[in-house]
Amino acid sequence: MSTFFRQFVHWIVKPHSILVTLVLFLFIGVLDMIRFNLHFLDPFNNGLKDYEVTDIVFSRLEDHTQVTFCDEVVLVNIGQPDRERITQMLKKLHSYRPRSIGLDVLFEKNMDPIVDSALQATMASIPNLILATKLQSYLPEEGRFMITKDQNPKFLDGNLSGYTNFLSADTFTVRMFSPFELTVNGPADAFAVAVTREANPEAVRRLQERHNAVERINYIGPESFTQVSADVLLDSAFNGEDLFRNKIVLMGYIGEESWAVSINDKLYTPLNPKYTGRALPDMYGVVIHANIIAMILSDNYIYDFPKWLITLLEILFTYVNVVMIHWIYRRFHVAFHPITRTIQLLEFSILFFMTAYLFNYFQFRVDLGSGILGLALAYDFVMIYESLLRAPLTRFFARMNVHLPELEVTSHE
Amino acid sequence: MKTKLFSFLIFLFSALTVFAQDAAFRVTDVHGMVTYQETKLSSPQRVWPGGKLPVYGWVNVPEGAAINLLDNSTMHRLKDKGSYDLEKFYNTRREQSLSFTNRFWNYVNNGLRSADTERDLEKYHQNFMAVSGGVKGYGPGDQGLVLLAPLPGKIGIERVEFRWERQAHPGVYTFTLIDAASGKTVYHAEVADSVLSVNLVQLGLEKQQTYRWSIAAIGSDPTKKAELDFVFTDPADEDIQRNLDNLKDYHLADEKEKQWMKATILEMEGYQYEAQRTFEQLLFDFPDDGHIRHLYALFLTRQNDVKRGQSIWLD
Repeated sequence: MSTFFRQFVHWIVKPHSILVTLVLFLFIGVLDMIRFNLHFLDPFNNGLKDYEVTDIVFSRLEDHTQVTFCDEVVLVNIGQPDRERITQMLKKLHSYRPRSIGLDVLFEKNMDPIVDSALQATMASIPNLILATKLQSYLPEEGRFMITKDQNPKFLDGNLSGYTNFLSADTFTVRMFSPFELTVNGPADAFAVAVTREANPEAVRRLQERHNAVERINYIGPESFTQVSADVLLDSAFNGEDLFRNKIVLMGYIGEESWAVSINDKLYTPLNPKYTGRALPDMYGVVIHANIIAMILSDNYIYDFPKWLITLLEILFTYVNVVMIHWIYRRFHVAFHPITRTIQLLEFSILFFMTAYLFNYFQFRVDLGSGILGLALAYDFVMIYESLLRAPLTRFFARMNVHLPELEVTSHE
Repeated sequence: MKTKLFSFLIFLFSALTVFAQDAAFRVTDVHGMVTYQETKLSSPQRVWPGGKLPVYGWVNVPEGAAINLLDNSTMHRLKDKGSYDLEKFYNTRREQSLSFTNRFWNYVNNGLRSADTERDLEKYHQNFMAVSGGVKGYGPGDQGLVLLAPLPGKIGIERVEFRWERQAHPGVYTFTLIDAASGKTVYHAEVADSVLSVNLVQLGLEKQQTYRWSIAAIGSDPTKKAELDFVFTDPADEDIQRNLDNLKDYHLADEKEKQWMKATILEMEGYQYEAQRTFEQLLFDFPDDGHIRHLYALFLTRQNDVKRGQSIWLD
């Protein structure tokens, strides 16, 4: 056993490979500080900037012939109605006794006072109604957000609310949301969280117990919910008792016509069929909220590996590759280049498959960004090390009485 | 032994009967007056979202209506006018879903086959004419066909460029020009592109007459086509495209979308200066809207003003 262990240590602990890995990660660290924000250093074209490997899983590798249906959330497409019509819709929905109603509409200005007071009174009479608000600027010294005036305070007064902001970089793809934030008015829930809290506080408690500042959205799809239009809802012949009772109802804009494409309140998601250089937004805001609610209710969260584990895996992965490339360099010196490149290509494919597989089946997100960069650069760094760094470093360590092994090149090509 | 076998068969039969009774389509979305008939002779009942339909009978979808039916986890989207036999749907073999490994392999394989580099784009540009300006959803299309131009209104020019697009399967199309009053075909052509230039005077079209142009994809159901009417008129009377009131969606759109539609139409018709002014107004009205900035930057890029495009959209 001890012989095996010694052999293993001899095989895996290679001082030169350790040095190459150190130099390589030093380089990646410097690159990471620059963050590729300078365009002349950007190795990828801009179309590729806004995508993650997991986007490919959502848009291409998930089984789109199958629909994961969420029975607990019903969407009401309000179109672009006036406030009188919204009042009618609210009254009708309330009569069906849903568990909670989320109204994803901002009423900014004062309109007809009679209509507004009727709407206000209706809102006040629905205790499980959640209104939409928006977080505005962040006050870093207070660690709190301002609330915008997009929602008229007279409607907010006495009603529950949640902010509708999503997390998105300058390219607008919505992958994450922040469930809880602090505002100048106190703690606030995201709109989807507030709506879920009213219907199922236990599910929100489980979300809180995850202690994640932001959550990735595990999308189930745009067609996973029953949709009811305003015309249908207000049709006297329609009885929604069975459909709405004890359900979570989200009211919002989901387009005017089934075949017309509207960009209003529509955002990019990882489900977009074009995962790079996205052309048109693909999901309405209220449908994104519905996806978040479905995720919270079913506890179907996306799990990230701890950062330390990822870093450890990246270093190990790169180190094993450097050892292997070093070995190929010694054993197959002439055929070194084609062998290494083929292995790299194979490894990329296997790594991509494993990342996609883990995400698809177990919702585990593994972001081995530096590991992949390490794999891509390992070949070049072994070459640089052997031609430039090896001799001076060997001398340096020799002065410290540490003798690094000599290079033995045996051609087997 | 025989008794046991007999009991097992009875159990199996009852289980299957219960299963068959429970089987149903879930109605997840309905647009328009979609009805259900148990038999062809029974009276039609309106279908509401959230309801369930048995796995037999008929669903009637009128023009412009649509219904989504969920059968376990398979979605049936019925958008075309017609009467649909539910039993057929239920008994038809459902779309076979591929395993994850197969989907992965297909993805890698497709990626390798469609490696569209800049050189490929230049060499095989006919295969890559996938992007076009314009807004989807203007023309009442079918089979994913969308008619882009000309839109309903009066056309006064002799040579007209008819343009359309199909998202899913670009291919060969049948272009037909019909006299709307008599229903006679004036011109018919098979086109391997999504654009066709036609001289209306040479075809002998009469002024102040209404004509209909239609596009159908060859190899698909010829009854499923997209068509639009226009009036052939004198140049002075032309109001095509600039008269946005002809567009159904224009009235339904909000202010932002209306301006975007206007800018797009102007660009499509070659009124670049006016299109740019409209985009600038749009940006002025909605300065914080990233999507508008993006659209304007794309417009500037199409006008070869890449520098300004980049200044509007830094990425």
